[in-house]
Amino acid sequence: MSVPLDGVEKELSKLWDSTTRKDGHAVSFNLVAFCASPDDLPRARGALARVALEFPSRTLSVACYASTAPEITARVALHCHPSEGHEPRSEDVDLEVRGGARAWVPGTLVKLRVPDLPVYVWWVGDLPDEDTLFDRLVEHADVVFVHSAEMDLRDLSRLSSLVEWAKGGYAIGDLNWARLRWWQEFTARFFDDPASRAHLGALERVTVAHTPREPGAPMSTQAALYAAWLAVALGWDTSAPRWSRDGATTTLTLRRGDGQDVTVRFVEVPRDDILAGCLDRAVFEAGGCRWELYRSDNPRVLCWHGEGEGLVLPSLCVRVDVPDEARMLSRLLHRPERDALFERTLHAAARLTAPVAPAAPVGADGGGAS
Amino acid sequence: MNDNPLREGIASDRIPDPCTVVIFGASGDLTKRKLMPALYNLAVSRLLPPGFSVLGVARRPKPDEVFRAEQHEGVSQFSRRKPVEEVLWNDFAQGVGYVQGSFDDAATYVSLRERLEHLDRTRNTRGNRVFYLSTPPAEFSGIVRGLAGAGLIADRKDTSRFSRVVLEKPFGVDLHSAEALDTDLHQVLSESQLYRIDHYLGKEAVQNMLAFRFGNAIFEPLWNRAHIDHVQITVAEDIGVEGRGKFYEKAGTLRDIVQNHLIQLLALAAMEAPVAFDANAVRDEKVKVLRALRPLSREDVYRYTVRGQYHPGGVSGKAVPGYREEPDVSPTSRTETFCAFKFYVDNWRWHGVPFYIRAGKRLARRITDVSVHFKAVPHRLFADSPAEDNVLALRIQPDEGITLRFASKVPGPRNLLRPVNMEFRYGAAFGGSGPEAYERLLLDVMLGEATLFTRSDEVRTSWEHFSPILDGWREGPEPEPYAAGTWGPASAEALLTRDGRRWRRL
Repeated sequence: MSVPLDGVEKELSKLWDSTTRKDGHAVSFNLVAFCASPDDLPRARGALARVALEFPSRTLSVACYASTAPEITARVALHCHPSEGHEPRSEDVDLEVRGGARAWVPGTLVKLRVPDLPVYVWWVGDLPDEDTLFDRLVEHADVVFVHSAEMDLRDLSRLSSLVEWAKGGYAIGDLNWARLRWWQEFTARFFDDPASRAHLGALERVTVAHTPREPGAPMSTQAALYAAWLAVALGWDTSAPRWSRDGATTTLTLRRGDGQDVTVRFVEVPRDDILAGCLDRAVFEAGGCRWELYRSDNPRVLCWHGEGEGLVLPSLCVRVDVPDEARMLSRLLHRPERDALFERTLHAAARLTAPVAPAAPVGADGGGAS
Repeated sequence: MNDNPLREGIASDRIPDPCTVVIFGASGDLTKRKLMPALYNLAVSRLLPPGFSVLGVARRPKPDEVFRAEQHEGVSQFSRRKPVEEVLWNDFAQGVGYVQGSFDDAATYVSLRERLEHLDRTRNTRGNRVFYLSTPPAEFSGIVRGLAGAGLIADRKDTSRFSRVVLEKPFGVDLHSAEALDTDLHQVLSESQLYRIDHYLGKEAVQNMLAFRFGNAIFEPLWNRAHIDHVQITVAEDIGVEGRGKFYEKAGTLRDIVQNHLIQLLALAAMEAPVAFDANAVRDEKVKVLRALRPLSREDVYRYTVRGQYHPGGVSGKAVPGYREEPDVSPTSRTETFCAFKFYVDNWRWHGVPFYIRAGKRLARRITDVSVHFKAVPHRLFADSPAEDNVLALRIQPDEGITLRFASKVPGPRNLLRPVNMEFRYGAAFGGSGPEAYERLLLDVMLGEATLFTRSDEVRTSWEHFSPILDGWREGPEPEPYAAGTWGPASAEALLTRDGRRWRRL
């Protein structure tokens, strides 16, 4: 139902009144999804709808369309649980923005947010190269979510700058980083074992296999973040990365804390059942021992295997979440705050990939007028 | 794990060290319905360590494969996640085995030790064991002695490995038996190695009582005798004894519900803020409440307690038999299926505030509810309106949530007030079903986190109050009859009405 902006609150009240929850409902935060392209709107809406069932919230989706007549129209709805008697959980406002009205979006959102509650902004799609709307949108945000899996390697550098710039204001969360959580957890779990941990400082070679993301790219942003995380956690020197390439395999050589080299090989593996750019396997080698973490035939099941003298590592298989945007958003919303490890990793990833990242297009402008 | 640099800063759940859970009485219903589904769900939730193993111990001979198949069937039927994910089950089941033996035979513990040592070698369980005694309480002391005799209990000072023992209630049937059990257990185990399960404490809504009270600044200033008139706690079931007549004849409602679950709710409602959210700090505060409960003299037992027994009636539109007609129940039984109490907590905060508590079977509906009734306004400005107190109710089950009742003006020219309820329901707000109580509690045992388990002095102090009540009842009249499907005997109503109050309409 399309409603004038001034009628949004009234229409939402009417909707609640027509349900069993007319005596009141909980709200924890405002979650805004700004779609850089209207093509992103359906998936953004889908993700918001699922997140809204987990967290009582007001979701606002914004999509901009080309037009000569500037206008913003709204639709309101309630997010209802599909299986629990269609119980309403959260409320939703969709904004359709036409033409020059794009510039009015920040002010409109201020008016439509539930006051006195946190505001989280999800910038859906690629990061704009230059768009003052982005700056104005995030001005009142507590956390801004991006998805670096949708970006190319050079955007890691831009994200890194953004993190620095945002310090003291909002925090930045990355859905791609949230996706890495289980890989980090199970990599760490390997080395909780004291016998394995003894080798950690002397890793000789790491192989990171991932599905292709962009033709010709040396690795996906997710693989780069994973390698950068290892480098940060294990104290490898990221200031002077050495790169080489052999066919589909790209090799990064870094200096360990003890002055010895460690190589990280990035290998592309085509696999249709997992998302582009996602990790498929990580192998660690040191002192004749080998630890392997891999997806089974079921892409949602991660397994591990380790062998070598003195190691007793029973096999382990665990199910991981479906790595969709709703799940990742939800994971970030459980701890909507600055993540120092992410920031350090992002800076390291930007440094490491700078020599192999594609150059920025000349005169790039992804945002349009604002 | 702390010196693993890969752990630094990652958002990970706490994972226990590799260990083996040994379940005594593994052929029983609890293993099939609760324990194994809980462990499987922990595996699905990625919360178990690598090499995690389970050994069932029971009298009947059976090979490992048969035990695994039985448990697979149990998990398929009772797990909150269905269907069973075979790839995960197969991985989990690699660590599942069975040891046959009698609990009073030393050879059982020798076999068990050999199996555990084998698991240490092949699955790297590092000598860490959790012994879960899913057996009748009469077996507890013997099993613990058997474990000690076989060298299966690690010294509590040995930080390289752990041995923990989990006990299911009841922890004694009166003060004397509870103390005797404690003495037996403490000959072998330190208190820090003992985990007495009260599954109520594993419920999200019960834990939310602490979150609500101590995570919000606005309620605590009102949470005392200056503002609160009285507190009511109800643990009501609409079911009967469900084939457990033999057990219930010996237990009764006081031993089954009140002395443990209900007294825990009272302690959580009345306790002071702990200095930290850790096991000893929280339990210290609960014990202080129990110590402050005013003891009931023999005369008080008749004045401040009510016991009832259900007679035939109707529940959910169906006729149900009376307690004495239930299987395995004596036709002249004096066992109570309902009881109600009026307690005072004699401390600075609660002086003069009565706590009315009640529990029973075959009541009007299944509900667990803690309600705080605030004092009336000092001066009634709105004389035309009925006086209604503010009530803050914490619903534990079903539909966990919080309700606040306050007065609101009815629109119109008159100053007419009506009570309205502001409701918050966890399920509607946050959705999804959380982990089962046993998942949380089993994980906590493996992690060595004892906050949600009952400490020895809590059990003892509770019995110090309830043993004299049981003695008084034994010498008193029969339980008062009440029709199944009602809220208990008339005396339960009178317990409040003579104080000018009434039970909340639930």
